[in-house]
Amino acid sequence: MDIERESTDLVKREFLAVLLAGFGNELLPLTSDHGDEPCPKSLLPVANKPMIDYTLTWLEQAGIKVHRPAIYHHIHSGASLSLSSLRIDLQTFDESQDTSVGTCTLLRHFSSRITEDFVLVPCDFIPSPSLPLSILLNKFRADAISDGSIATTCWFADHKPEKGAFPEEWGPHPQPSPIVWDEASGTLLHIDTPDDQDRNGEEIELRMALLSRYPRTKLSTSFQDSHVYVCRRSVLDALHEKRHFDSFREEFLPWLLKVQYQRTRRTKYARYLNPITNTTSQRLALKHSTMSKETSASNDSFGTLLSKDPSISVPPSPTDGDDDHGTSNSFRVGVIIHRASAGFAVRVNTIPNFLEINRRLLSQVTYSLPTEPKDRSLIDQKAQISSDTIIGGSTQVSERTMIKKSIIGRHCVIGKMAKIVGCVLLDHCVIEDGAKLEGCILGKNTKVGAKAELSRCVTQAGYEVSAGETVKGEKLDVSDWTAAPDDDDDDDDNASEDEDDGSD
Amino acid sequence: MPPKPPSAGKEKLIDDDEEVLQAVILADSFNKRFRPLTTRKPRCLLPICNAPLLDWTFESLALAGVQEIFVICRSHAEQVKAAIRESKWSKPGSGIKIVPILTAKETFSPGDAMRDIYTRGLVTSDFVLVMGDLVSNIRIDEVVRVHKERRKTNKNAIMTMVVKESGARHRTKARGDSSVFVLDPETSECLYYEPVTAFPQTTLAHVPREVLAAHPEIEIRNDLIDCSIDVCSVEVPSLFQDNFDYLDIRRDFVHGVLTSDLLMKNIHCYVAKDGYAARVKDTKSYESVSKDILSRWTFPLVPDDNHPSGHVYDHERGNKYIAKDHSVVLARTCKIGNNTLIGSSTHISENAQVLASVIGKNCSIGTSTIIRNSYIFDGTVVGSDCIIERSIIGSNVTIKDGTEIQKGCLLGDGVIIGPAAKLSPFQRLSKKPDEADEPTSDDEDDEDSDLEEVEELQGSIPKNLGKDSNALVWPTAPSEDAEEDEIANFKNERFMRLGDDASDLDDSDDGSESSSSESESDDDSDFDVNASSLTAPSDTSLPLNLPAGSPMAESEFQTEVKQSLERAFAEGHSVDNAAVELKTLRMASNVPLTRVREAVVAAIVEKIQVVDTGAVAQRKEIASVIARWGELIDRIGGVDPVETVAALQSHCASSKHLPLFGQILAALYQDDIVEEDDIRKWHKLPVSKGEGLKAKEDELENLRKCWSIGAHMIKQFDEQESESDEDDDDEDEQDDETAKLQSSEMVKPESEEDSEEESEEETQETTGNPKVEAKLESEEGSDESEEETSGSAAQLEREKDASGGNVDVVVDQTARKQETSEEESSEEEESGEDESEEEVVKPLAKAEASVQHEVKGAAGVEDKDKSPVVVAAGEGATAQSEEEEDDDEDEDEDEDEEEDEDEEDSDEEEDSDNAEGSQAADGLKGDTVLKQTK
Amino acid sequence: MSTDTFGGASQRSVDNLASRLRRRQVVGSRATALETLLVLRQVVSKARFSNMEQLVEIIRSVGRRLVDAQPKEHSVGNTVRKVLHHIREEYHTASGTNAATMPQTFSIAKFVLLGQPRQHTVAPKAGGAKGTLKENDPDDPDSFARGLKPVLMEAIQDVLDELETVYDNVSKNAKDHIHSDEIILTLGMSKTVEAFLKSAAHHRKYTVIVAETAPSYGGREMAQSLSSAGISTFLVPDSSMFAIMSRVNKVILGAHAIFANGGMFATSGSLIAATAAQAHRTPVVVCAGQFKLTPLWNLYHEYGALDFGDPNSVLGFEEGDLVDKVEVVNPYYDYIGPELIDGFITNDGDHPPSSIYRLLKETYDDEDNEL
Repeated sequence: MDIERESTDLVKREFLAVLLAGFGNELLPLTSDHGDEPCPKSLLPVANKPMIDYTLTWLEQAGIKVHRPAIYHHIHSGASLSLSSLRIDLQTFDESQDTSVGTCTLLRHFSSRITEDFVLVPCDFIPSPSLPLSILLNKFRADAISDGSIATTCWFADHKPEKGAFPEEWGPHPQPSPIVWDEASGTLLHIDTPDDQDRNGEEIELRMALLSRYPRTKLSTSFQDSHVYVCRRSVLDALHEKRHFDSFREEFLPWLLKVQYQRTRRTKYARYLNPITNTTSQRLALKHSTMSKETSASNDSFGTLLSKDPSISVPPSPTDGDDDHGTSNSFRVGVIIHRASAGFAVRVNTIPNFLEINRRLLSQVTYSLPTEPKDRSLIDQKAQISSDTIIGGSTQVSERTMIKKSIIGRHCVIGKMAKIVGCVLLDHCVIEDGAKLEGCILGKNTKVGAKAELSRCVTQAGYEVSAGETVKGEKLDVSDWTAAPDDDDDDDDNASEDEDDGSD
Repeated sequence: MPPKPPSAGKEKLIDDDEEVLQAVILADSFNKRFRPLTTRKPRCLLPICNAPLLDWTFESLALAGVQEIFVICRSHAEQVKAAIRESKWSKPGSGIKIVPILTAKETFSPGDAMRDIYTRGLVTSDFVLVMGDLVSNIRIDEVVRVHKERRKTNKNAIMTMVVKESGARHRTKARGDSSVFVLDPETSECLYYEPVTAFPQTTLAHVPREVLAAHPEIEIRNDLIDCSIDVCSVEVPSLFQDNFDYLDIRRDFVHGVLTSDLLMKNIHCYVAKDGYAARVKDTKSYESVSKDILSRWTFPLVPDDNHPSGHVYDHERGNKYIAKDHSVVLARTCKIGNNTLIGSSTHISENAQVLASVIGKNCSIGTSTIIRNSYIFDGTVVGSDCIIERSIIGSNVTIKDGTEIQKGCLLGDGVIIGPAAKLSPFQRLSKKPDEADEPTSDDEDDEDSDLEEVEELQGSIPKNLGKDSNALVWPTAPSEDAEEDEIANFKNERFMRLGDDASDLDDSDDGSESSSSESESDDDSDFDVNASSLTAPSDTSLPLNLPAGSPMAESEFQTEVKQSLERAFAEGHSVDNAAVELKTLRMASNVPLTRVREAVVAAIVEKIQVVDTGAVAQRKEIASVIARWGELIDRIGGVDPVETVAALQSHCASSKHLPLFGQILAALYQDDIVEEDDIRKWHKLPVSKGEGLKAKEDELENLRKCWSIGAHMIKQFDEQESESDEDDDDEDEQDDETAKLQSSEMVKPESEEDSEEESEEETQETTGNPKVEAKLESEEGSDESEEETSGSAAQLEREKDASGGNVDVVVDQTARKQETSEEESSEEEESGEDESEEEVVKPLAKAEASVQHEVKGAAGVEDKDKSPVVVAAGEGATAQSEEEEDDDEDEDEDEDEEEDEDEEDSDEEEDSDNAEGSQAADGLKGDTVLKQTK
Repeated sequence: MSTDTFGGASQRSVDNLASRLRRRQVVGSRATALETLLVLRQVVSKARFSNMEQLVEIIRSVGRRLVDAQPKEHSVGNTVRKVLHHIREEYHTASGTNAATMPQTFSIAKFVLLGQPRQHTVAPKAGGAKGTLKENDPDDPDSFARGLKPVLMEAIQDVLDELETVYDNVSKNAKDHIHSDEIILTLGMSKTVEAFLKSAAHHRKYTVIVAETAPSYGGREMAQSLSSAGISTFLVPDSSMFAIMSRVNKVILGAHAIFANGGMFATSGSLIAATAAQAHRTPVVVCAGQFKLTPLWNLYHEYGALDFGDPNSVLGFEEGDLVDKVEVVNPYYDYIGPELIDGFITNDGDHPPSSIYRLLKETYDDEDNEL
């Protein structure tokens, strides 16, 4: 579909990106407020760049206008300044941390402002370079023209953290939900939602209608949903019909998938999500090409060839899928399966993932110390800093401090003899002399007292570790930091398993 | 002529594959879809494209270089044998050895045939299993090679199914019974198999989730035609032998093997890229396969090239095949359409039209007759001005002038109809039987009986067969002997009927099923015969002279089960054997599953003997028995925990094991045979409270007691959910310990189960810790609760250890205190009940205490709180022990069980009261109990 | 047929070959010819006969059965005829009666190729047996066979040798046909053509354009092997054959069977090539071994030959519904009339189509044309 590339430039606005920047509730305590100043997920620095930068660059490469419901007090985010080429208008949507509201509600709220096909992007999806947004867009364009598909999404290979890589307090690894898709036509067919699981815990139930429409499908649990959706505008209308839906992925998308093969729904909602139906020769050509062994397509061509009037209606029957396929609109939901071999993509929605992506990015850089001499001067010569380390600007590192495999934010102060291994320090952290940090994530303004030892801890912004104290595998919140000491006296020397039932 | 050494070609044939490749043909369709064509002739001898199906099958196998073929034939076996004798395959040059095998008349399903193969020990190595109606040109030898390769690495790959890729819908793919295969895309291992029927419509395909655990990415294929060519290893027949309930090879065997977790066998698929294979399963596939042959999909197995029965045909443009020996007479004005086959010395007269049809040898088609999409066997005479649409006409049929045959008709051999007959669609005619030429071989009896039925029906059916017709009209409505089989129900059959698109069925769901109870019982009687004839050595106790079909008296059945289980216990059978045995029993004596479950539960409970040497021994006893035999309860053919609990309750209520109820329930719960919510469900049931069932007063009493025990347990569950914060360190360290204890008894083998504490100390060190690990790894809440219960158990155990010494001393004290505790117990009892109803949240300790307490009472063991149970329980134990002896001696212990109960009613009553009383009492003392445990 | 006159073993081998032919397990006319020849040799070695007629009858009966088994594989019949021919020759030379004067003196081929040694004129070696050979000896019926058999074996051996060496002999003078910087168009996978082109490549530098030849796609294989032999090769779709024909200097085809009228069966797609070539006046040359000469005419369809394959290669079985609605015709061979062919390059020289009938007369005996 490269013919359509020129329409991606901003002459005619083809797509509009809806970028969701919410609280990272799974990222607590990193995202919990620091005093009155919030630390939203979208601004969490990954390798010293705010998370949202990655997403915006990704969007920018596809040249897309961003429409960004954000939390009101983030408007002064230094992030978006870096990308002036994007036309960004920030929409604030008031929500408070506890009553987090679902994507569908959000979309309904903003549907007035979304006037064309839109791309729904989370702020925390960091794709691999081998997965530019244009892949999705092009597939969407092709499908939409060829047989009226209504949406395209992308699922990426899920990476399982090896057992015990992260302490369990950092939250369990999100269990990917099984999906069914058609490899040949790249069509997402079924998502096994939690309530499916409740209904039948033993088996995954698939309608025969689906199987007769797409007789050769794949089912896998090894893929995660990158919350990226390219949708027709008309999807919003359907969304308006379904008021009760709240979550996009868990409720609306599964419902949307059913429309593909359930005749009753199809007839019912066809008028809401009416895809563009151009009976161009191109479509026929695409369908008749048996080289792309697209099952549905070959059925399509038959449906259309046999029934002169495409709107012929036959009684719905699960066993003959392609008869009720007589219409030219497949209402397909395209999917791009991004396999692990194709590169590492991740959603930074859990702390383990946060650390993971940081480490991965580290492994790509080589010894990036700040370049300006005045920043360099802050770093003591006798500090030994391994090559796979990033140190932000105007950060001070004192002598005989060892830093390995770590990311140090800006304006940090690191005392003498400190030992920092595999850590992520956000800006303005203060590490006093002789502190030992291993596998930790320190929020902004975290102060670590002298000779304190932290291993595999996460701290809220502004948390203070008093001198000499030792903490293992905890989430340290400012609120109950007093609880920390009596927490760690009982699990001095136990394995982390014992701590579990100690703490929960 | 002097004997010559075998020729070069022959040698090459042998050398190609080191050992002889064997094949087994099941030459009997175990259904009646082709009647009346198959009344006089087995299906595998029906001609398709003028060659018997069997020849096509042989040719397919010969293509694959098969060298030894066993033909399993049941009905009309003589004809099959004769056919094989005459066929070219018995000639020396064919290089194939064909052995016809006549199976018993009781062979009613492919499964039985497989069992027969096993008993005869026909196959010696991996073999090819095909049906007698296969048309294929797939290189099966390639499949065999792949199969053997796989076997080298993986011994469990027992079978390779050949499937052919077709669209979601394909004329050759039967809509009636297709199937969904779940494959592993890499290894093409078949992970799950789901049969699909068009009616009743299969709307959902199920993929078991546990499959995903092992295979992160799987493929669901609905576009595969099942060629029913299976390369089986030698184990396969024996597997059939082990499982009597396997009837169909796909629906029962494959599905069973894939779903069963105990067999651990794999089945693979071979997705044939090129080549063709299909079965003539029904009249519809008969048509489609003929079409495929005529349009050369089966190349080189095509009439003009390699016709199985050696005819020679001329192939002309548009796939017209005319017999080559210039004996065919085509009138100048006759019209032969495309895809038509005309046998030798057939005469087609002026203006006749033959379109897309197959005409046998020596036929004659009258003038200006039109034949469309029809299949006419040899020697049939069609008059002039007839119209034949999409029908199958048997051999030597005479159709007089002006007859009109609508789509989907089947005319049996030798039928005469017309002149001017009008057949409505889907009519089936056969010749009136005249006793003169009837070969009275016994296998035709059933057919004759069918014929008689049909004859009776004649009056009812309106027909227009012409004046000099000799035909019987078969009922098109479901015949009353339709099998009780989802594939074979009439409406589903319609999807496999020639020319029937069954469009009306696609959305119709009026369930006028042709299923009747007596047909069920017939089926069972069949099983019964098999069961008695093919019983495994393990169940010699089966009486081989069961009255066929008549359900045995329940008591009889109970004793049966009892005996077989006792022997199982005694000889230490594996649970699987016992389960198989039970299944057989059940099928033999046609009893509902519930009975079986009750019987099993009863037997298992009886197996637990009451030990009066102390609670530990008692509980170890129970735990070991349940651990060894508990799973049997779920192996008898259906899993219904709620029912299990109910059965347990009712049995305990009526036997001396009443006191053990709580403990057994706990044990079942810990072995995951009963889950928490099952207990809740059971508890909800009105029946379990003894309501609405008329039993002896005391039984009701006991039922209620069990119920209230359940109530306590449930209360305890609730509390575990409610409390998680108030337990402090020693609490959970206690958990660990108790878990260890728990595990220690789980793993303890039967032999040392009645050894003392130190033995369990050491097991605690050795085996305890991994158990704890395992528990803590898993996230589900159920495990926690499990730990809790085990906690209660073990805790109590420690307690008992404390009090172990002074048992007998305390006994007499309690004897004195009895009546006082009795009345207090009574009021405590109802208090306990309404507590449980209004779900008051108590501290854990109480609940534990209550459960552990009735354990104590049951075990007849004494400890700090002087609960007066001991006396009664002690008596119970003694009586129990006597009765054990009775059981060993004579079969019918039911009677003296009755009288035992009569004499012990009083005891049991008070005993269980006390159980209640002391429970409640303990409920109050619970926390003190906890203190003691520290 | 008189199957009793030769051994059960050879009987079996005949049956075996017949069934393999019927099942299409023997493919390729040369392979078939070889198999047939082996069977025949066995038959003759085992056969018991007391005069010429019996022997001939035996061989014919075998030949008949093989031909009936696979009437479309013409090389079977050809081989049988050839063997018969040789045997007669041997017989005549052996028994002195020089009944069959070799008609080769009139051969056009003689002018075409400058006195090459003819393959099938073998010097009468069986001199020892001369004269002593007497048929139907009443007291010793086997004497005739005993006397003749070694000679017959040699005769068959000659045919065998001819088959073995057919490729070399065909491509012997390839360089005379292909000149430098020529562009040759060929299609299909024909061993003969392959050998021909390769041997030419030793002397000349030229370009080959190979058409894919759907649905068998033998062309791809051909292109691969040619380019691996260092010939500059282009693989083009069949549809573009006409378009490129204007640039092609010569079209070289393989043959499945060559008929008496000078027409031939060749792999499907050859007809397009030949017609296109004629439209552009491009010479069409056919490389074929002599065992493909068939004393028949094309009595069947005018364009497509008799032999139709399965539709599978044209329309996949997995196309589902299509299978029901489409009728697929997949002929293996095209019939190419003599008017489209400019010359045959055989293993004994080059012949115009018009002289094929003479070649046939030399190669076979007329009485064998109907086996």
